[in-house]
Amino acid sequence: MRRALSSGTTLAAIILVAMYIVYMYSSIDVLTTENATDLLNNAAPLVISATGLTLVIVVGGFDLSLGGVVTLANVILATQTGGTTGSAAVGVLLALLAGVVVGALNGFLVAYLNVQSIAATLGTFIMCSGLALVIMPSPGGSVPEFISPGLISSVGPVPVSLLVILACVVAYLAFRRTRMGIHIFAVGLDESAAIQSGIKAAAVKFRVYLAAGLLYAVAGVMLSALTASGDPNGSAVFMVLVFAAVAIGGAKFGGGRGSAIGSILGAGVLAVLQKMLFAVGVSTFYTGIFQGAILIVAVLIGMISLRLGETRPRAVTTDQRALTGRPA
Amino acid sequence: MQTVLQVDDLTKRYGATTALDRVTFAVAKGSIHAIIGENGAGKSTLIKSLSGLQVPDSGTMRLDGELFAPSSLGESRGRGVSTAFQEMSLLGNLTVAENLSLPRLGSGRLFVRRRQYEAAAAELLAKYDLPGLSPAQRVGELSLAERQKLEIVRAVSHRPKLLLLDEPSAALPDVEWLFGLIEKIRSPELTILYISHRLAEIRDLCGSATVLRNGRVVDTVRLSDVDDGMVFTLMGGASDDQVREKRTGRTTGAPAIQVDGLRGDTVRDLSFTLHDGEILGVAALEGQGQAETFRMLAGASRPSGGTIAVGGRRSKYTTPAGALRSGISFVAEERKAEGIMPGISTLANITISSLGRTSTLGVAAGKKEYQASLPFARKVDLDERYLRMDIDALSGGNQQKAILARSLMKGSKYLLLYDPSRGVDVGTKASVYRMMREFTDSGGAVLWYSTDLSELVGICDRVLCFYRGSVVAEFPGHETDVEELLQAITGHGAGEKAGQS
Repeated sequence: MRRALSSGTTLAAIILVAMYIVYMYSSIDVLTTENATDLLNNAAPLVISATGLTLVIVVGGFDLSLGGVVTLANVILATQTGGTTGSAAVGVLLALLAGVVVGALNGFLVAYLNVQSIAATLGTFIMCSGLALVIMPSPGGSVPEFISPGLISSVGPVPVSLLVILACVVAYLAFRRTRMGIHIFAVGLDESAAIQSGIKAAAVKFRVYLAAGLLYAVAGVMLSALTASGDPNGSAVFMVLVFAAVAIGGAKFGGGRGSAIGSILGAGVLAVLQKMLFAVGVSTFYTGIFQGAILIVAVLIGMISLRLGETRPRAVTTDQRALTGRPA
Repeated sequence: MQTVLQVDDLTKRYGATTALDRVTFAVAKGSIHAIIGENGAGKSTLIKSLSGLQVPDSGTMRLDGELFAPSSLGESRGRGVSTAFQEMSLLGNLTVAENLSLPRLGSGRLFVRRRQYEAAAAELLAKYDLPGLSPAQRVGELSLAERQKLEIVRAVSHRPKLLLLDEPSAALPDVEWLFGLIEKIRSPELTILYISHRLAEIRDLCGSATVLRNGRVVDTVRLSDVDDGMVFTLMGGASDDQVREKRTGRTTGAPAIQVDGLRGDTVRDLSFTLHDGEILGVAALEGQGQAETFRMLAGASRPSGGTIAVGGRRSKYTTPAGALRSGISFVAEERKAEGIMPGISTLANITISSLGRTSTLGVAAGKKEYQASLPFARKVDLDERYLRMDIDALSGGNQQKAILARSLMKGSKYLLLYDPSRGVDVGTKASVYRMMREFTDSGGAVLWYSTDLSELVGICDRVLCFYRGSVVAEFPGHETDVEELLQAITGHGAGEKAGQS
């Protein structure tokens, strides 16, 4: 039980369920298909980005390029003028390509040139934002129909967003069973120990940034479905929320601990919170205050339960480390 | 006899320091060969080069006659070299089985095979006598000794032809398990390079030893041909002993700091007394509890048991600020990290802890500050012109002096110096010694840890030898020598003069 509580995933799940119950009581039509679909649509971009960001956080990095890639994907789609499914496909491919390129650049800088991840990804974030303005100087345009409303509608009774979210969950669970899925935790905890265990740490980091870039681009496509138009400076709040989702999900900034499932639930918490506040009549202007507060509370609860669940490691630090606070 | 490993002229430099200097030796196939040397002799650099974690600048290594120049751990493993690292390389957030099977994690192409590697781990744990561990257990939950054993088993599990054991007994309460394992794996096909500073163990296991000192091979000896004293002489090197004025026949004052039964993570039942007017040296190899002891005395770490009395009164401080109020100043080894405040002047660095005296109504007064700090700068031989400069612009030695001046200015009665002379030039060393003498002559007391045994011998009134978290021997500074200290701190011949305090 303690162990379960100390895992961020369980905590995020509890918060999500609790919040959903409150939300259900706050409004009578919560359980309509329309409302549920709406919620899933709101959550999907957060979920996808949070999955990508979690990988980066677990491997011990930080990724601010998220906002840049999302924006870039958005303006690429909004400037596709064809209107046909074909041009939509081209747009999506270009958007994903942009994500891969930015991810590869991040990965190269961080993994092989040892640039601090915050600095490297801040740089690529600014570059992406600049490029977005070049592609689309002012908000407007519209994304192809295949994207919007295509990606926010349903396939039969099942919303596309739900499929996307489930795909993220399944993909992550599968990934956890791959070699990489274990290596990222090793590298994130202690890179030199990982190398001494035979792991090619640089390659692991590179691939993580690459995958994350791709996921951000997919998130950008889903977000564009929601907004239906382009906005070259629209992703700052979104990026902050993704970080919040990852934090609520219990990932440790600094690396070595975290789960995309937790982060996905964290994204769910933020999405439900938004809906719930709206349903009980709180002005949307207050949403941010509540989201921030939830983040802090979740992280605090996580810390407390982690401490409770912790079996104290017995004298793991060496004497030298105890003195200097850094590896000898 | 067939040679399995031949190292020739191996050299590795880090900036100005030469970690390995034309290291040359050979190891016979099927033997257990020891590499001995003090801290900083170049042992770990040698290990890293052999493991492929570091590429030497020049020189060659040959394995079974073939050139061996690994540039990654995988490569050296592929050639049959496997290492149990001293800085343990296990991952605390993974399970025992995962750690044992890294990086492959089963034979699957895409997915890992948990059942497979957990079964393999269970087999290894049974085979090498670690029944207490379970494959699915997280390594973070293990004790230090268990981690050390696991690290060794992991290295052995790769079935190497050359096994490197880097201080394999450092975290073990006894060597029984380790010796049993070595007995089990010994074969004419397996060569073991045993890196240790524990001569007793080495004598039990190894036939020959290569002695390193300051990055050079002093000698490779057959252990049956030399006695312990000779080995210690080879390790310690009496040659570079500078002539130092020894303190003799000094009488010291009342107890200044009394430590009784102190316990912590690495400290086990530690007791000693530091007197007013005394320079008390601490001699120890790395990781014998000295760092934690200093931190506890400085209020930076909380003991789990025992008492500290300062000036005859049981102390209750639990923070560095509290220790300061009790008159204890701690000068840490990592000056860059803990000591200096970069970006501001040397003067400000000196006065920062005594601003009460140099400020008027809370505003630091430049002139007053300068005047007040001058005598302390002089005391540590810090040139006046440095006071106005940014502390970053000063050499390591001068930064060290500034930190000492700060401690003096605080008016502390007790100085805890943690290896203050490491990596500073001879001139600075001399002024550190002089400062210590003056400080104690005026009634202060100094507890001083140094990795340089020869300077402890020269300067201290008494020297305490730490081993595995407690004081195992104590010598009068003017009567002891490096060899004697070395024996005591390696847990060898300890206790002869213990308990004299």
